[in-house]
Amino acid sequence: MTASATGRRLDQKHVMRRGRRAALWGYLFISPWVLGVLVFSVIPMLASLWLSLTKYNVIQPPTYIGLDNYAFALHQDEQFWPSLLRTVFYTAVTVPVGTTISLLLAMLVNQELCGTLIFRACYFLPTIIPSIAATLIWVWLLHPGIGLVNYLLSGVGLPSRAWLFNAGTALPSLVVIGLWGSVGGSNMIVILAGLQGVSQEQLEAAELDGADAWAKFWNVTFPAISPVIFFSLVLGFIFCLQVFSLAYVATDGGPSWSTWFFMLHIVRNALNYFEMGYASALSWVLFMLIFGLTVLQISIAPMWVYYSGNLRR
Amino acid sequence: MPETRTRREFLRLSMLGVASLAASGCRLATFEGEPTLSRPEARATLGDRRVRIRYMARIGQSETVLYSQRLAEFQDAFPHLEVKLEQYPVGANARDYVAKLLSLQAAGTLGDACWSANLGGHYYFFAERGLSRPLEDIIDAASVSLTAYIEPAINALEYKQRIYGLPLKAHANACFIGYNRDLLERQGVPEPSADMTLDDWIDLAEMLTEHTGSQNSPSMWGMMLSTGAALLDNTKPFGGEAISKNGTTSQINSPEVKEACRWQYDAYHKYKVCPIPQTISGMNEYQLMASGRLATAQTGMYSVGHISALASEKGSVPRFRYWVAPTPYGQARKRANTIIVDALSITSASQHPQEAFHLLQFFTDKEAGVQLALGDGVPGARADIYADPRLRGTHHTEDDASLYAIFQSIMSEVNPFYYPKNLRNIELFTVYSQEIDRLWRGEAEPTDGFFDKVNAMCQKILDRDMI
Repeated sequence: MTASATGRRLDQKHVMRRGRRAALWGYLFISPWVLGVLVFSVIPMLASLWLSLTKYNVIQPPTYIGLDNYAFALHQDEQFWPSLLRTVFYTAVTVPVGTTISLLLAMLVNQELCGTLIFRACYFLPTIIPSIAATLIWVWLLHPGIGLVNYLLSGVGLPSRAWLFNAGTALPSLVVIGLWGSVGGSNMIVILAGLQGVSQEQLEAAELDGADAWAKFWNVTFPAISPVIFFSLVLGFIFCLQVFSLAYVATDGGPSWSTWFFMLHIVRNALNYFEMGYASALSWVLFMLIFGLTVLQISIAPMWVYYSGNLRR
Repeated sequence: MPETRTRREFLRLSMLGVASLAASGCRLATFEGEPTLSRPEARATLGDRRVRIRYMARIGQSETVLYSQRLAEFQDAFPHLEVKLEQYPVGANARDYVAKLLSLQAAGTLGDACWSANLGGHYYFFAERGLSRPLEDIIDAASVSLTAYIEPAINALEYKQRIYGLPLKAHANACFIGYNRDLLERQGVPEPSADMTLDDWIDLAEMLTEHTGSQNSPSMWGMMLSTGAALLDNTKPFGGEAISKNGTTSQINSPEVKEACRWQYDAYHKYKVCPIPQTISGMNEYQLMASGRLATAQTGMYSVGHISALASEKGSVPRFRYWVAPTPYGQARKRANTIIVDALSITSASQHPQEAFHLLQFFTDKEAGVQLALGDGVPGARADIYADPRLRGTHHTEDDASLYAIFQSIMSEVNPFYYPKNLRNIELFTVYSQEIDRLWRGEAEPTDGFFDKVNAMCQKILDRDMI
């Protein structure tokens, strides 16, 4: 071996040793986060997977029962499918409507008009109100007898409703409360950031080519903000499928099960019916649903999400 | 030339510094050692035993009144014991409190004494699953007699022929007709009496209801009935039981229960003397009565303290005289009531059960029972409390001696509490409130098909295995 080859090999070893040392320091710096994820997320998830295969009431050790919890959920639990469908309905309405309203609000506050900053702040205010406090306020606003909403409706000659205390209107009422708290918040801000990144040159070019407002929006603006919309939809579905505090505070799952969401069903089984094993099984069902939906969204994203530099399909 | 430090070196040093600080904050878990004594001079009279008892109490509940005066008296009486009071939130049906105890149990940090009640079933659940311990050995060793407590309360606390707690307080659930005496006088309506019937109550309510407002919001309701788990009470006058005595069979579709539900349904929708629950949601009978919109209400001993406080407040609401009568007899010669007992138990994790039992005795003796009655009205579970002269003139009712005489007469014939054998009380009550309450809201009619469907749902719960 020539001296130069030996020298190159020695250099390579030296570089690799330095690289490993640098990598070790990197691992050390990220270790608190990794440890936190392991201790507070991964290990509890694995533990709940095990508990989902057991009968466990917390007081006594878990007893292995195989897939009985899942079988009970699918075939015998009277509230499993209704609560799941109810949650899916809530999500299917809240997420698209909420994203659309957030987009419209973002487009409104993207105008360079006097007072836009004030409107941005006003639209964002509901987000910073704690959700429990906001829900309690809405409970009183929607009160059938003394609520402000019915008072205003009766003032213009419209009939009042029982809102949260009628099985037909309770769920839509919760949808409204959920939308109120979310449309002007981080969704709007993220979409606004996306709108402000839209290329002005492309918009001007489209205008020069004779594009009207809708054509500009559909062919220039929307593709440019599609990654942001996609992000908003993915997170929206994930959060809305876990809706809990609204029903817990406002209606306690009633009236007549009309707001008995899946997450509420899990909590009731875990903490009130002492069926921690069954609640773990329900949690894994919800996880698989959310995971599957997220994978589906990611897989169809290339059909409509446009990243700059890519050709639009 | 001064030596410069790179950013990486700075970060390394910072991390080492943070890690050192974190490590210095850690220490091995140590036994807390001997508890401090309430009176230093008592040390001289002590043996070698000085004990801390952890009592897991509920925040803001009626027994809170015991934690000031009575607890101090306990510490004086037992200087070798120190009570560490731990207070936890309750939640509806005590769900938050029970969840907290389960968490402590899972973590192995359960205290010595805890609260529980029969209505939500967790008294029996704690007994069944070994969270609480039976007390016979301690009771026998201390030569304590349980005859001081009222028999229905002791019967309610027996589980599989063993007793797992001492009764802190007992009442008969929604056992009263509470009413505004001044209002009835102004209207020239006779007051409810102990021998009136259920139909008499409807007639009385019709005389009092004023539909001067909209149909769903009259200016005065004649009566208000309890819902949800009060189904257990309201079926009894008709001779019905929502659940069988052995707790294995749902009887929602029995003729007696159907008749009871139909009577209540008519009060809402046929005679329109009772507010539909959703129109008054968020407001209780105290507030409605104090605001002059409700004449009579099915209520319990637990309301006496609250409503009398409202009735006597100066300035905020008109003062009025509040009085009570027992709920009427039905054709089965029973009144609408059920024995409800709050208990204090010793946990199986307690290392000091004998000492904890002293606390149980102190909080369930006559003096504690009187203090409870002076609080929200519900007395201890002892007959020697009712005639205590301190209970006269306390709750601004007409005659408190008579109030507790009425209560005592109700308790002497209080109906027993039947619960699911598999202890799924909360699941069952959830079905009651979600399904049967549809009748009161007018979303369903009391047809045989309705009761069969609800009964099937309840039976499914009762057929499940032990919780």
